[in-house]
Amino acid sequence: MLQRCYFLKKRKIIFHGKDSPLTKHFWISITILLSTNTSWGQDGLPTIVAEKFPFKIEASGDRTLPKVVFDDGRVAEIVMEQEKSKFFTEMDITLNSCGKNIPTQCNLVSSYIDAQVKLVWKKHPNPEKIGKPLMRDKREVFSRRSLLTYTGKAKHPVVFKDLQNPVLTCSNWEWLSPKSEKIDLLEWSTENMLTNNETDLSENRTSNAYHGIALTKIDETSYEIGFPTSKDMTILLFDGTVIGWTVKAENFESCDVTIKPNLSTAQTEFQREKKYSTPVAITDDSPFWEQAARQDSIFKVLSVQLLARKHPGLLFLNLIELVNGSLTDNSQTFKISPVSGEIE
Amino acid sequence: MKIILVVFSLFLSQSGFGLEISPTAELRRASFLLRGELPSPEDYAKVLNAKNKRRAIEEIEQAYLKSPEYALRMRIRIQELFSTKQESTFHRKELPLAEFNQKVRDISKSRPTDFQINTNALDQLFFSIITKNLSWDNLLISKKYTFKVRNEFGSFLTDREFLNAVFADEFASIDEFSPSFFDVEAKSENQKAVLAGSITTSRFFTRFQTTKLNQNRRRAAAVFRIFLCDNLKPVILPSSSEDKELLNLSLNGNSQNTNSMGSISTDDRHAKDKQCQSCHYKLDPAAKTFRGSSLNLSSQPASGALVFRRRDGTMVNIPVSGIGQLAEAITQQPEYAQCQVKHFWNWFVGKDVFLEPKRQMELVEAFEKVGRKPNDFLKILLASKEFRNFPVENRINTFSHVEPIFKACNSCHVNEPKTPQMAKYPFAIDKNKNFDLLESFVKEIDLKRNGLSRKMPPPEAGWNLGEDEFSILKEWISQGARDEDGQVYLTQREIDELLPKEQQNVKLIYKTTFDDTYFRYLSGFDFNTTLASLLNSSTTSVYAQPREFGFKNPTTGAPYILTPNGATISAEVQIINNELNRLSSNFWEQNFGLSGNEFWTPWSNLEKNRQAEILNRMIDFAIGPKVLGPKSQAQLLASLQKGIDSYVAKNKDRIMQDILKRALLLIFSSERFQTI
Repeated sequence: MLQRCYFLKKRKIIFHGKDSPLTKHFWISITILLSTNTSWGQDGLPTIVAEKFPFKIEASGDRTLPKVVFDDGRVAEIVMEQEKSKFFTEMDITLNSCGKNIPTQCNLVSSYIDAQVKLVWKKHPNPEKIGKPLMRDKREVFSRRSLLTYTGKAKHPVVFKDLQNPVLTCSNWEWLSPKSEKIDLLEWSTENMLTNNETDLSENRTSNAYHGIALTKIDETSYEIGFPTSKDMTILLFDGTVIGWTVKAENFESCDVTIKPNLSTAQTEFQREKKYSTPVAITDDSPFWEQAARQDSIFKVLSVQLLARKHPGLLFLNLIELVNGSLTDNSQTFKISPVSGEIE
Repeated sequence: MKIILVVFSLFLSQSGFGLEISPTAELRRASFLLRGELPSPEDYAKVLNAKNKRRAIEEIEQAYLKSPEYALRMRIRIQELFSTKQESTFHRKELPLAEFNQKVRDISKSRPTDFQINTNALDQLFFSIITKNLSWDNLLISKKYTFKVRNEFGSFLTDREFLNAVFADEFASIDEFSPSFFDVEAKSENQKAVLAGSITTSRFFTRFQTTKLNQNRRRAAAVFRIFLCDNLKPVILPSSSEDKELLNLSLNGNSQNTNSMGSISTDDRHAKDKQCQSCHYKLDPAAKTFRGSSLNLSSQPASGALVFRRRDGTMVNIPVSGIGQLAEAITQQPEYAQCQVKHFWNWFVGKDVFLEPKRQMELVEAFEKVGRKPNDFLKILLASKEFRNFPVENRINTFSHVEPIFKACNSCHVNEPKTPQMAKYPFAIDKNKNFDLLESFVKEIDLKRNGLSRKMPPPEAGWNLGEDEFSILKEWISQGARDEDGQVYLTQREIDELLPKEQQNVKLIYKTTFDDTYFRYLSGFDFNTTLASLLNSSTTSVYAQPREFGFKNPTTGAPYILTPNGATISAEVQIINNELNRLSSNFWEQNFGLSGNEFWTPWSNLEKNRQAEILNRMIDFAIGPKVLGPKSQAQLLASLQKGIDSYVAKNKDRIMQDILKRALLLIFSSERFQTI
């Protein structure tokens, strides 16, 4: 079988690697913590002032990113840059009870955004620094690159507003024999070898499953994959070596399809890019991954202020990586030092 | 210290099988089975002093049934039935013994609903059925769930995540960080159709995983096992070589892997192969109701059916939409009620005590009469003659006793024209023909050598008859292979042809075991807490023998720790010895009626009658007043006297306290103390 995954744009693909099947996908949360008194700015919006440190965070309004204003007049802004792209994954239909059991090869076209969140100088005495990222030394840049894919579209409609849904293109659709222009999936599931918590034995099992996904016909060879509107779960379509569909039929009947995507190329790419590529979110301090996934709050300054009030202390952008359901510090904490002059 | 162990296995065969046990022995048995503790001295006194002892026992049992200790033990029993892990936070694999036992003790003092480990919907359901005495059917048909938003058990998904699609509206405003329990109940018809008590919980789905290859059959098999007592075994059938490989992958334990299954269609195989169909005809329609719910529960009911063949050969085929409807259909089957009654029988009477079909029907009637409420049914079972009697030693085996074995054979071979119908006996009306078929059966399973060179079940099938099953088959044949009515079908010559003389009439001895059998050892922490209460010890200082109630491996069903060996017994006795050394003279004087003078008198200076009086008091103290029958008490007394005499002969300068300590040690080491 010819199976490979290739990219229009070669780098920065987030994929779910073989070694951590449940959450190979990982979220980074940025937490802004600071020593603070909350005062009210001239425009009536709250301003958070760091008592001991030579900077403050200014919240200039809803859905705009906060600024870091230094006592010496320097100003840095949080900036998010985005670039849209696509990648293709070949998929084999291996088994099905829905239509003809014939070998079929399909391509899944996935759109994604290559996004970068960074603190850049807006005002600086050195004109060459304007637009450049804040830096303590060459090893530490206050920025993060992210890959935002359609997988979180239902949950994060703002971030994914312009991102096209994935499209499945097959040479023929006799394997599914669709009877209408819309194919409802009772379930989209993925399988992995995981330890069973109840028996402590490792076994092949369903590792993720999503309900309410539907395929809508675009043309004779292509169907667009639509996601449910529920915001409760981030959808990881490729989190496993086998994908299973339960296709809805009439009278509570259903049939099953097993799809094998070739993720080897993507996994290699993912491993290489993993340490550089991170979806970004601003969250509160609760160490639970569901909260870390509230990506839209990146545009909501008020939530930053609430955080600031809750956490006296240093101002830092803290990146926390989620691996296998538990939060771990990914040792890439960005810290804006309270000592004036350290940040260039 | 040389450890003297008194073995009382002889007592079991001489102490009156078939006889009613004493009222205090009955109370002791009920107390341990219900609560894991000795009855209090007040409870013993109440029974001993009561004119109507039966009524006194029932009143005490009623109080036991309301205790948190009872709820805790029932939950462990149900967890074992469901093959789920028991209390991961403190099961034996993870904690040192002392810490483990302390934890168990701490928890048993709490109210069940306070247990932090019970934050998941499955355990909450178990507890509510037991503590509120709800209908047992709620295990299958309850539409109400209670859980904490963040389960602490560590299931793959929390119940909130698992049920999210079904209760999307109800969960919309849920507080993700609330420490309180969350209640949710099905209201719409759709919700009711997909919800089915215990089997639509995150823990059940986590325990019984599925893949696209497995197609939820593992879940359906668990439902058949738990609720219809139909234990479908994953069998790899001898067939073409390519199919062997596939079936290995699809059926063999944990190696299921959709990815590696190649190009053979399992649906094709299961649909065409008669042997596969003999099990899959019932498994697959039930499994279909789980479709679309591989990991979390779908809000869409999936069609399926409850299909199985009754004992009389008639076929049940009830189409359903959703797991909820499947569950309701199951609870309406007589086989369901019979199965649940059998679970209670196994737990409280013992699975080695045969439940005659007629008796089972009587109990089913009683089960129905009390609205299938577990605690009410238990009252009936605890008052039954089987609970209050030793099992009959020389029982007559009829076909009913061996029927489950033949039924298992029949389940795979039912559709084969050349194979006789084995669910009914005699296999043939003609006695000679019947003998031929029996002879063929004996050869196929290699009965003489307990299956060593068997053809059936196929060696590659992954299972064989158990030792107890071979024994009961031999016993049945030795007695002439009687039918259900007791009519003999074999002559002695024919019996001799089927079985060598030395294998005939080998009596099944009821052994003390760690399983749900008639005679049981005290569990590790039962033993521990019993000693602690008798000796007024601090709970942390008493060592527990590694014999557990519950705490079985959920995969294999085997206890985590097996029979104690010499080393563990030595260690145990050493610890008990230390505890005994700690006791003051007051303890001995008060409990055993010793006068101050006697306490400092050499043992050998006491009259024999006085010695016996003291030792009898010790037996009553440790085992319970009048728990043993006169014969058993006399035998235990004789053994104690013999042991002490032997000790005194070697240690002439030993003081009374040392002798008494030794006597108590011997009692604690006896099977009479350690079994109920």
